[in-house]
Amino acid sequence: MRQAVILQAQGIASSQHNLNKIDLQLAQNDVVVLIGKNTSGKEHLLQALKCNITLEHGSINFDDKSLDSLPKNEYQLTQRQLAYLNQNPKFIDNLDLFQNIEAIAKICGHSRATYTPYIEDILTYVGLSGKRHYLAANLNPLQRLKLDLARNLYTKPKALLIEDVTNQLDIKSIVEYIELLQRIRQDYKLAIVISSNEIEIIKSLATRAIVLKNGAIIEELTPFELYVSPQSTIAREFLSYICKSELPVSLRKQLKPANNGDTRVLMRIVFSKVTNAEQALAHASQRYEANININLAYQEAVGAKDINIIVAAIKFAKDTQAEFAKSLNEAAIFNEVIGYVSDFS
Amino acid sequence: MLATFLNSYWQSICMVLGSIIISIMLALPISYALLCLVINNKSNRLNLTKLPGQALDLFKYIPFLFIALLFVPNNDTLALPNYVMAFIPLSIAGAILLVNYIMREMLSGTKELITTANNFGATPGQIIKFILLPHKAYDLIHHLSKTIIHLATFSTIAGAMGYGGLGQIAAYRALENFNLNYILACALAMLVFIKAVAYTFDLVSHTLQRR
Repeated sequence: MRQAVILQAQGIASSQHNLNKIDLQLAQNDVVVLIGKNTSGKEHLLQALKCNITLEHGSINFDDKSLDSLPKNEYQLTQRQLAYLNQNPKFIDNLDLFQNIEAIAKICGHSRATYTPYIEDILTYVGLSGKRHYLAANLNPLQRLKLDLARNLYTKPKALLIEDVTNQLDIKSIVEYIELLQRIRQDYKLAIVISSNEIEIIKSLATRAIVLKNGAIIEELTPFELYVSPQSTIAREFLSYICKSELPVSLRKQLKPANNGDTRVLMRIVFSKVTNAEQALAHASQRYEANININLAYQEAVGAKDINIIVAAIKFAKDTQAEFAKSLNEAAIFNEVIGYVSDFS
Repeated sequence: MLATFLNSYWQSICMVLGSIIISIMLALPISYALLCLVINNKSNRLNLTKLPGQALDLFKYIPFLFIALLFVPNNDTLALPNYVMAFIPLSIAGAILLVNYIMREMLSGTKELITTANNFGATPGQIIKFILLPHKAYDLIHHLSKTIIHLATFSTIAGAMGYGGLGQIAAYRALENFNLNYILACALAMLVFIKAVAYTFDLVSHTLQRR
C-alpha cells in the first residue's frame, strides 16, 4: 500500500543555488539517497526542502501544506517537524548533552516536568544515556551526530533531511549510525532524505536513489536497479569507483586505464539470483572466445534482494569484447569495464 | 588629608560602579534590538554589526572628553555633586563599550548555532535567551570586567577635568604641588580597585564554569 505523501517539491529552481526544476515526492518510511558529485546540488536541494534558500520557481508542500503561504506561527511549528541534520552539527559546547536538548525544549515552550523524562528517553534511545552529563565539546564525531539526532527527534519530526554526515566517521561508526537511522525509521515512521555517496547507506537503508547532476535529477532508481542496471554515466562512474575501492590492493595497483595489447579487461559483472547467469556467462565465453579469470566474487544484500558480483579479468581471442558485453546485457547481466590489468595477473 | 583621599577614592568607586549600572541598563536593550535585527537577517543594509565597533573607535578618548566637557561640573544648571555629573559621560562611554563587546561576542562563531536554532523555528529572542546567552555567559562576564576597568581609566580622565575622585586630587593636588606620595597613593589605590574587580569577576566566572 502506498504511504501518504509527506514532502513534495514541484519544479523547484534557483539559478543562484544551481537547482534546476526538481520534482520530488517523499512518503512515510521513504528513504531517499541523493547521489552526485560535489557540485551536483545535493546540499542545496536539502536546503531548499528545508526552505532555507529562496526559490525562483516551484513550491514545496509539507504535510499537505504549502510552506510558502503558511502564517509565521504555523511555519515555525512546521519547521520543527522538518528536521535538518547538519554535516558538522553545532552545540552549546559548554553545556552538557541534557542541557543542549533542554535548550530546544525551552524554544518549543515546554515545561521542565514534561521535557525532563522525554529527553532522558531520547538520550537512551540514541545510546547516549550514560553520557548525559558530558559536555558537548567532549564528544567524538559519532556521539555528536547521535546528539544531533536526539535533538531533532525531540520535536517529533515527520521528515529528516540529512547532509553527508558519514565522511567524518570510520567504518564501524558508519554501520552504527546506519543501524540507528534504521531503528528511527521503523519506530518513528519518518521520511528521510540523505545526501550521501556512502554505499552502505544505499545498500542497507535506501528505498530510492536519486542521481543529481548540475542541480537536476538525471536518474531515479531503486538501490537494486542502481546495482544491476544504472543508466546514467554518473551512476555508472559511482559504482565503478565503489567497485575499485573494494578491489584487493594488489589488483588495484595493477589497474591501467587503457588496453595495451598485452592486457586483460577487468570487468565487473552484476546479476541477481533470479537470472540464469552462470549459463549465460558460459555460453558467451565460449561463443566469443573469452578466457575468464575470476578475481573476486561475492554476494551483496541490497535492500531485501541479493545480488552477485563478479570481478573478472577477461582476455578475448578476437576483437569481440563489444559483442560479449552485448550478449550479457541481453541476458540481464550488467557489466562494465573497470580498467585493464596485466595478462599475467 | 587622609579623609580627603578616602573621600576621593569613594567618589571614584561610586563613579565607576554607578556608571556601569547605568551602562548595563542602556546597553542591554540596545544590544538586544541590534542582535534581533542581525538574527532576522535585516542587518545587510544597515551593517549593524560594525556600527558599535566604529562608534567605539570614535569614542575611545577624544569624543569622551567632548561629552565630558559638555557636562562640565560646577555649572549652576544642575545642582548635583561633581562625581554624580560624571555618570553621564561615563555611562555613555560604558554603554558603547558594552554594546560593542556583546555584539562581537554573541556573533563570533555562532552563525551555525543561530542557523540550527532557526531550523527549530526559534524566534530571535529565544535564540538570544536559550542559545547565545548560555553559550557566551562566561565571555560576557569577562567583558563586563573589562568595561569596568576601562571606566576606571575614564574616571581618572574625568577627575582631571574636575569631576572629582582620585583623578582630581592626582591632577590638582599632587601634580600642581609636586607631591609624589599623593601620585603614588592615587595610582596604587586605582590599581587595587582594578585588581579587585578583575579578581572578583574571575572568581564569578570560574564558579559558574564549575557548576
